[in-house]
Amino acid sequence: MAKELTILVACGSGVATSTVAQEAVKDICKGAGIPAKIIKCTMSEIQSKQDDVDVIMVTTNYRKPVKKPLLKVFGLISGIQREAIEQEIIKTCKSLLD
Amino acid sequence: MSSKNLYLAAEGSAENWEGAIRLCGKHLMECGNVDQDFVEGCIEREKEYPTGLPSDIPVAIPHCRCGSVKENSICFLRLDKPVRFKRMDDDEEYVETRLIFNLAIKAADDHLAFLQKLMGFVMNEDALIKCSELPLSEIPAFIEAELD
Repeated sequence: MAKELTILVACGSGVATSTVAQEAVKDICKGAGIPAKIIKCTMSEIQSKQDDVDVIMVTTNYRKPVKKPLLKVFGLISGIQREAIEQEIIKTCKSLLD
Repeated sequence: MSSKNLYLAAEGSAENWEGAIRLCGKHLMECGNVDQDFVEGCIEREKEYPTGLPSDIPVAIPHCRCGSVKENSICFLRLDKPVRFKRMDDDEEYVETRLIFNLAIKAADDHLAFLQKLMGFVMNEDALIKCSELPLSEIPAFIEAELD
């Protein structure tokens, strides 16, 4: 089992939505007892940063192939289907820790 | 929160999303809060990563990390006719909106609480109804009261 997950949270500019999503992901992991380090970036930085992380979460559509699991977490910002996304994050993170 | 945050409200008409961002940029530049690079940056970013939000009342929140921003600020623009913004969560879809919030944010990490409130605000139907209906002169104070 890995000691700590590294999560990459990306949005278009790396300013507004990724900051809000990062905080939401942090709270979700904390609540679920998942040890995680969260870093944020812009969508264009995903390719160069993905090697250093365990899972990628995006607030927008990302169509390029990635090497790590990719979750869409726009709902953490909009509130639409927030609970389903929370469950998906917890499930994915826990399976990565196993 | 800091009382330095700047809130502007404007009305106008725009042909399309780019015109709407330029209109916001004009107001933000007029009070010396951002430079031209910021405005161009918002337009470039919008092309690649759009900011239309498909809330019950759709809005768009163009912003970027470019150029110079003096103080955190929001320019609210109320258009006479809606324009199309592509959606943040799916850029093959779009929203039609009259309500645009151009966000000029200095350094994201220091302003988490502000950003959280801001995202909550632009997703809050009641707040958006007020933004549609209040006299323009009352809107900056309304947004400030909601966010500060």
